[in-house]
Amino acid sequence: MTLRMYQGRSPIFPKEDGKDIMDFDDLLFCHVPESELPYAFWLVSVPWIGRGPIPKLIRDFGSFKEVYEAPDEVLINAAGKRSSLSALLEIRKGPDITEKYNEFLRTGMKISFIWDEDYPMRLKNIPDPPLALFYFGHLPENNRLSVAVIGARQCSDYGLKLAEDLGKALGKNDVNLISGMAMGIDSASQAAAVSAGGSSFAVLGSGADICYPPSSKTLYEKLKTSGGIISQYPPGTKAMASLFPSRNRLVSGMADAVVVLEARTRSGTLITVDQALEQGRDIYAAPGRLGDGLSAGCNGLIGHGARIYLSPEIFLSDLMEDHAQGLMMQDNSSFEKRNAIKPSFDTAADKRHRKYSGCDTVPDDIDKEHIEVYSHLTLFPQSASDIDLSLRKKGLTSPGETGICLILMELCLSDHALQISPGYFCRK
Amino acid sequence: MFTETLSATLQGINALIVHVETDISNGLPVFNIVGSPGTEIREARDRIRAALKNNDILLPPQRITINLSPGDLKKDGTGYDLPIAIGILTAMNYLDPDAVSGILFLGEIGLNGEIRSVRGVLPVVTAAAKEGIKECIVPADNAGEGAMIPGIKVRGASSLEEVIEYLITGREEILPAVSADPKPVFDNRDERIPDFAQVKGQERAKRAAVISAAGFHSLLMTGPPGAGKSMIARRIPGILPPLSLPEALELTAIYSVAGCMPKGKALIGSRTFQAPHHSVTRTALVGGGQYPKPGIISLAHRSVLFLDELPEFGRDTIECLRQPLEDKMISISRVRYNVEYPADFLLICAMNPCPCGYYPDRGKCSCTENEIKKYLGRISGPILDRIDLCTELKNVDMADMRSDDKGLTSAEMTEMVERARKAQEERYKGTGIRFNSDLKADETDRICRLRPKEEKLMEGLYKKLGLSARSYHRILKVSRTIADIEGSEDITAEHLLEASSYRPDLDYFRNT
Repeated sequence: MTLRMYQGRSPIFPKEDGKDIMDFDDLLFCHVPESELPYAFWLVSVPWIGRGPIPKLIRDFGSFKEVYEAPDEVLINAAGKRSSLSALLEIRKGPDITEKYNEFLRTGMKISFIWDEDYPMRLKNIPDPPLALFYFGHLPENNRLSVAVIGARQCSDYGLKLAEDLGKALGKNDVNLISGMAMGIDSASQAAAVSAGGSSFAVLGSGADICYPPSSKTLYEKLKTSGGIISQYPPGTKAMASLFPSRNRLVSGMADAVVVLEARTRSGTLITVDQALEQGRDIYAAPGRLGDGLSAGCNGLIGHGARIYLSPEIFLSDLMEDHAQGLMMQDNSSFEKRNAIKPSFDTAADKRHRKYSGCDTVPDDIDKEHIEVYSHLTLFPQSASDIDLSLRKKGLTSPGETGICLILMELCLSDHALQISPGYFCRK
Repeated sequence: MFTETLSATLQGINALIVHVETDISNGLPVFNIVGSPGTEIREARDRIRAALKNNDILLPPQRITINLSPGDLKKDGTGYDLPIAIGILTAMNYLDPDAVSGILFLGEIGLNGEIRSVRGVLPVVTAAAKEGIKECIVPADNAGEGAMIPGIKVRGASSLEEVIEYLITGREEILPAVSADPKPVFDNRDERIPDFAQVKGQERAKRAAVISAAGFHSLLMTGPPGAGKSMIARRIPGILPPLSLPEALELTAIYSVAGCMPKGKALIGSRTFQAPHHSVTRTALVGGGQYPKPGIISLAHRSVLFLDELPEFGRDTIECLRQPLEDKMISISRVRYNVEYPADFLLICAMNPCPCGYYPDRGKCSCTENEIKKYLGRISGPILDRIDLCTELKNVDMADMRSDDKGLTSAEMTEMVERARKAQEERYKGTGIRFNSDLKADETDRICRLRPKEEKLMEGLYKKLGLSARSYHRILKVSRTIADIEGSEDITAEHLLEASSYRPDLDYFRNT
């Protein structure tokens, strides 16, 4: 049998405008009957690497059932010889696919197909969206702002601190935080968002039932209830390097804006940024010190025109300004609520001033004698001897390393500083 | 004929008197040694036979039996050569039994009759004095050690010929008793220990060294390579208070038993510094072996044990330090013996904060999270639990290095340490406690009582820093020492804050 014989058959699900289904994109707007779901499930029950031949198969065969029932050679002809296809064919030899589908539904994991209501609207607009998403919890709501927070796995304490601050602010302001649950920036921001009472979503490069990295187990469990664990790969898929670029695409794809907190110049984070740009997302980058390898990627992004991330408040107010329009059209009431917590700036001048002042403010409740030490404290870990040195270089009298340590410990007590490793402190 | 001479065997750092019984009777000519002798003692037969022959004395062609009593005690070492030889000579009627009785002999004999040094002379002489023995003849090289003990005549012999001549003639000038006054040899300040003035900058680490020396608190230094961790460790013995004579004798006994006495030295008079390489084996570190010998931790008794590159040490090796850190001594049990060696050492450790040494400076540090975790994870938790102070070192700034300001010198630091030691001595008089670091939890609560203001601060610290009960008590003990250094009766808020800035943060070491 040749491929030709299958072309021109009438598809069984009609498009809303009455025309026959011709393309993968058309699936977004058609009604797929219940009976087709097991066959669609079969098609996504192996992890496709890269773009995969699914759009082509649907175009050629017209319905999922047709694809399922097509003989081996025809499928190989159509999709090309590849290991994922042979895995599919293998599954077909096993028990009835309808039964398998029902079994899956009983596991508690959920699946959302591209034509489903809850399939993220933002994802439908990226090139080549996945046919289905497997998930625990729920999927990001279309009427809520979503922000992707990404950054290095081996991040500095500065990066961690930024991630925690941003995660907390997003969580408090009901903005969904999308990330990859990796070590470092990803998990720190997500954990902060969840503990601030917000929702966060992790897009995994493995099956949604596999916690990768295993060290994020606590976060993984928390996300199941406050947010979701999402994967385009079927349950049981092990984490493989080749699966991650495609998951990064989904992280930015589900978000309105992408914030890069720390990244080296050649890093996975910057690959995500490239994909985000392709998808037309806003990129924000947190500036770092020149010469700091971990911030080189971010500084480079700012140089190339990314928006600068200065503080959670400024970021949120920018975000609201840019995306309020779209949200308002979808859901009036929720926007007003969000508008109310929009950070307030008294005058335009004040706003401009605050905007570029970064975070160099001294809290009011700091003792007078401690201000000098506090103002030398940064988000980068410093030891007492560093502060001692910079005080002396400024020509000020230093209370000595031991004296500075006492002040630092008091600042820790009053929650203005944090000891991050023996003898090293940073601002809290 | 049957005769008896006296000698001694080592038990830990103590000695036990051994009676060397000799019998020469008719029968086939054999030379037997019984009474659980080790290999070295069995070999004594050949040494003695040759040495006597070279002094123109031939063993009689008779049956010679030597018994080392008590017979069930395992014995080793070459020190029995001399008592056995004297026993045979007496049994041969060559020497007068009355001239020999009441004298303890110890020494190895060379084939030409020369008497060579042995280990453990000091404890042997101590035991002899306790038993009421009035005279000892030991190798000339070791006679100085033995002379430290009052009330007993110690004669140093350099050849068998001398000993025989002395025993026959009884003329004192042949083997004069060695001077029994330890004072001239007891110098408890080792001039070779370098001065802290050479360590520029590093104010905090130097301060931690003072606290550590003052309260005998174990110290861990972290910092990049070349920051001066070993420099500081090497100088700590110099700021510990000088050894007292009993302490010096105890340390000398350990050195003597271990066979580590420096040549020509009669007494270990100053604090030692032991820095084993991280490839050290368990037995070398804590002691043991086929015949028991004290390990490095006992050589560091009342002194400094420095473990550089702490994570590189074998986990098993380090875990062995748990008991000695708790009990101040090590008991070694083998099938053949059970010994105890004192091991009251000040533990000083140093390590890089990560494999490359620059963490938490992420700009320079090239280690991955996992590498750091793995590196820190190599340190045994129970040992970390026993570290009281933790301090960081940074590479010294150029300005500091060039400046003439030396910061604290060893002399100033010694003064601080001695002030704190005196305060502790008074406080713990009659309690058996020596240092603040020895306090148990209930004693800490009783002795480190806080005023309401400090109590409140401590409560805040407990919550903010996420302390455990153990680290809470540790901060109290360290702040007690800081108060003692400052000469303060009460523990003030400043002392508590300083102590807590030195706390080893276990969370950091375990979950970074």
